[in-house]
Amino acid sequence: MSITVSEIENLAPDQASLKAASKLKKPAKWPLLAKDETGGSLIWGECQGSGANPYRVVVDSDDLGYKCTCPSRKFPCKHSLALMWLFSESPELFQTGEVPEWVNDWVARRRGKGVKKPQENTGGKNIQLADVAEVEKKLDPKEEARKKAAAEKREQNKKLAITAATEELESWIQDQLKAGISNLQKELAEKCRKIAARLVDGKAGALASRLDELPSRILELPATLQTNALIGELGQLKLLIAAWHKTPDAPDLYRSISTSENKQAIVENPDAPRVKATWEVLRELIRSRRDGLIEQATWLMRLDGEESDPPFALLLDFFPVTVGKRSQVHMIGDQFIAELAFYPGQYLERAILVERQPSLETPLPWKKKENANSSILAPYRSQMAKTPWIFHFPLKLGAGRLAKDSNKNVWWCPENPNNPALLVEDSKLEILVFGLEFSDAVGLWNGFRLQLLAAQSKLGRITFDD
Amino acid sequence: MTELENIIARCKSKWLIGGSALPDIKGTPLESYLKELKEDELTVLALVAHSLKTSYLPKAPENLQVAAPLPGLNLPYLEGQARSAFKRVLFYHRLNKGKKEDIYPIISWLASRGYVPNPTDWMPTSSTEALPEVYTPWLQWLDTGEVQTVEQETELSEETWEQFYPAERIKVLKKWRETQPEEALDLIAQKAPAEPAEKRLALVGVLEQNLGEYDIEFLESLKNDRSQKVKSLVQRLLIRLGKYSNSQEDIQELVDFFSRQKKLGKTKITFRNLKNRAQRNRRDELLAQISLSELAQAFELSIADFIQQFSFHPKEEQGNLAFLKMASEFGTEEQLSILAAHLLASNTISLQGLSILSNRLSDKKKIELAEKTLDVSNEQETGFQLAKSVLAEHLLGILSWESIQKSKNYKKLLRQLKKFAKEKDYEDAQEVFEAFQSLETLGLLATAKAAQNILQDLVTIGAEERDTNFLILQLNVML
Repeated sequence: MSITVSEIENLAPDQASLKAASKLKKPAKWPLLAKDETGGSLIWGECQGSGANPYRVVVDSDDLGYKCTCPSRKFPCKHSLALMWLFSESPELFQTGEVPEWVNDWVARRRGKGVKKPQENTGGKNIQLADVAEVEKKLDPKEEARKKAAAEKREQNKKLAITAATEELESWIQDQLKAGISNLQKELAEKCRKIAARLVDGKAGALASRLDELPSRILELPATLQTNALIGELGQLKLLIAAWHKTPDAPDLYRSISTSENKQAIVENPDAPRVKATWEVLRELIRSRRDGLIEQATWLMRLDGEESDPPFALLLDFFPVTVGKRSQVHMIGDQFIAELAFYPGQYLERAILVERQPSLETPLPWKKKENANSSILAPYRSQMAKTPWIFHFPLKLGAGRLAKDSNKNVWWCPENPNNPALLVEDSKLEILVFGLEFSDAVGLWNGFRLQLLAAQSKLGRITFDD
Repeated sequence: MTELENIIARCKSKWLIGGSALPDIKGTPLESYLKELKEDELTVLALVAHSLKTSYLPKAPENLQVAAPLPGLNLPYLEGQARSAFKRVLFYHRLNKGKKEDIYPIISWLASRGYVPNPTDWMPTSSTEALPEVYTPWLQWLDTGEVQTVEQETELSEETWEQFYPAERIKVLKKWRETQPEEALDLIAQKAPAEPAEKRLALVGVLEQNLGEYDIEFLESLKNDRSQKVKSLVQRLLIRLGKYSNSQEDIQELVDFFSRQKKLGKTKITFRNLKNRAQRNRRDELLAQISLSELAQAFELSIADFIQQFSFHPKEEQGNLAFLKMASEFGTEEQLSILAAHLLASNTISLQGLSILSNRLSDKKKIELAEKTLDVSNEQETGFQLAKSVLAEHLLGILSWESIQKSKNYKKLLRQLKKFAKEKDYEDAQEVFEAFQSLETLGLLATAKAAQNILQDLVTIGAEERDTNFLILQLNVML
């Protein structure tokens, strides 16, 4: 069970892939590297990519069959090549372990058993050249100072442009109130698209996306809630802009108005809170966006650790719709110890998975809801007092059942009669869930409607997957 | 209306219509608050929006309906490894976009092994699904959202009739007919006439069990029933009791559709070659109407001798099936076993034909027939699929290692799988697909011990252990 560098060289689609793979050879890029404990030919690993979740890579060292969850169109991709390369040079880095389910699934689905080992090097690729470290060019101090000043100037100009864009958005909202919201509702998509385009010109990309997606958020609600929800959205925009005008350097506000930090910046940011704990994958929500991207949102719940740490985390990935259906990143219900880096701000929600351990063999129980008698909406209201522009908030619901009204709307009915019934997003609910008494549940609350993420019942864990 | 609701309502009505004036918030605390802050309309909007999102919940109506809790079943749920394996079966079923009916044999097989799936993994979605009896509480729950609990001691009678579900009544009546056929008849005679046609048909059908002279009077009363289906059933039952005769012309017309040849001292009766569809339709119509005893009599043979001499026609699929239906109604189990042997020896083996025959066979005979089908096949189905059609739901997972090991189909399957394991790029996708489908069916037919041995054979020939096509066999071993 070995792979030679010349096999990797022959297999690589081009020299650029080899170069890219050589950069991924650092073990720090791989939260997980493993090989089959039974002495089989499988090796697998998880490689930090540009998204919140690592890519899963598996290679059969026998015939160099490979699979990676990344969206690359190069075959094999740089992650698969890097895994082979690491194994060829440093097999001791690979822990022996039980073959996980996702690797088993890949093996099981292979028919015709993957690729044939390439015999020839086509395209003049050279693995040794790819492995030569690039020498960093040293800039002279004057040049460096000039570049820094130019960057600062660019940043200043960007802020001015954003200020102008936010002022334009405020005027636009004012205009809508004058023209009447009923008129806005008639042409919601078109009007939102126009102002979103203006915001893109004004460097307020995040605000533009928010406006672009606003119609779909409103229209998916029952008609009776749409006006309230639209007023809610417009008011939230005003609140967000006002907050940004006061503290334009706050990272969470800048992220909500303009652009997000990239993953590397979060990993390297000392202010990005790190939380190492046991997490459970609650649900994966996949959504097509108007800009042609697919949003893959994975919600995690913390099962142990410090009370002051965030109880939930959102791993957010985006990929182009043209990549096609992407395989699930995590198994729903899976529990594992992982270190997450949260995007800093007043509300810790979005995070990046920095390091994870293999799944727990004996699952941990869910933590009981704190203050069983307090309102289930209390944490939401408390967070809304600090960051009133957030879209949704994960709620621990405690015990309850699902019920229907005479119009077939679905409601969450808490066991505790002091808590209110909450309207539920019901498009994907299976009939079974109406016959269950839940001992606990978690849902995403947007102020109007609840989207259930996961629940517990006598029958075990309940998923609400698509 | 609270003060907050009042403010929100006023603002909403203004913003909906539009206009340059501020919303009417005079006299509300918001008015003085905004004056103090010297803020504009957008601040009112922000405050109202925040209230809407935090304090203005959509109100639940008073009359929320909660379904009855999902009832438990009388068998334990799959657990541990077996549950994981079953979930993987479901996963690949979804992945391959399988039909929901494809899962039913697996569900029946699990029940025959004493398990049901955890409903969070699999549950029927409609009360009309054809599932083993153990699932009745779930089907009832799906139907009504609740379970009608009939006390175990409650006896079916004229008074308790409405307390039972129609399917339950049939079940109780059939059982009753085994020991007290006349009492069951009395209740059927009392209740059937008032039932709608489909239910009436099912109730009269119960009389097939232990049919006797005591049924004649009631059956005679139904000779002119409103439903054609009931009328035909009554006619067939009366024929069996010797109380109904077809006309000699009709019988002779049917006889003329048969040929009788003597070769090497053996007589062979089979269908004549026909010229057109009209002739075939008429023949099949007569086969549905005339009894086997009437036909045999016309040939001056006993039923046993007629069956002995009958041969299936290789090109008359519909006629063969119509004859099988006729035979299954009148032949004894022994005679039907002989017919089954004829069928297996012919080139016209069909899944439908075997199912018709096996319906009337005892479990023992069904298993014997299923074992024999492991040596045959037809153009569409392998012997494994044919065997599955012979065995009733509760008989899945019953075929022994000995019967499987020596069968022609198993030997052929192993040869194929060995070829695939050896030639990893084997290209005949249809052959691969069919072989793996056979393997899955075999997983449902085999005993746990047989499944274990089959898996061993697969490892020996070099097949990949993790192959998803072995899942049913693996699950079989776990149960």
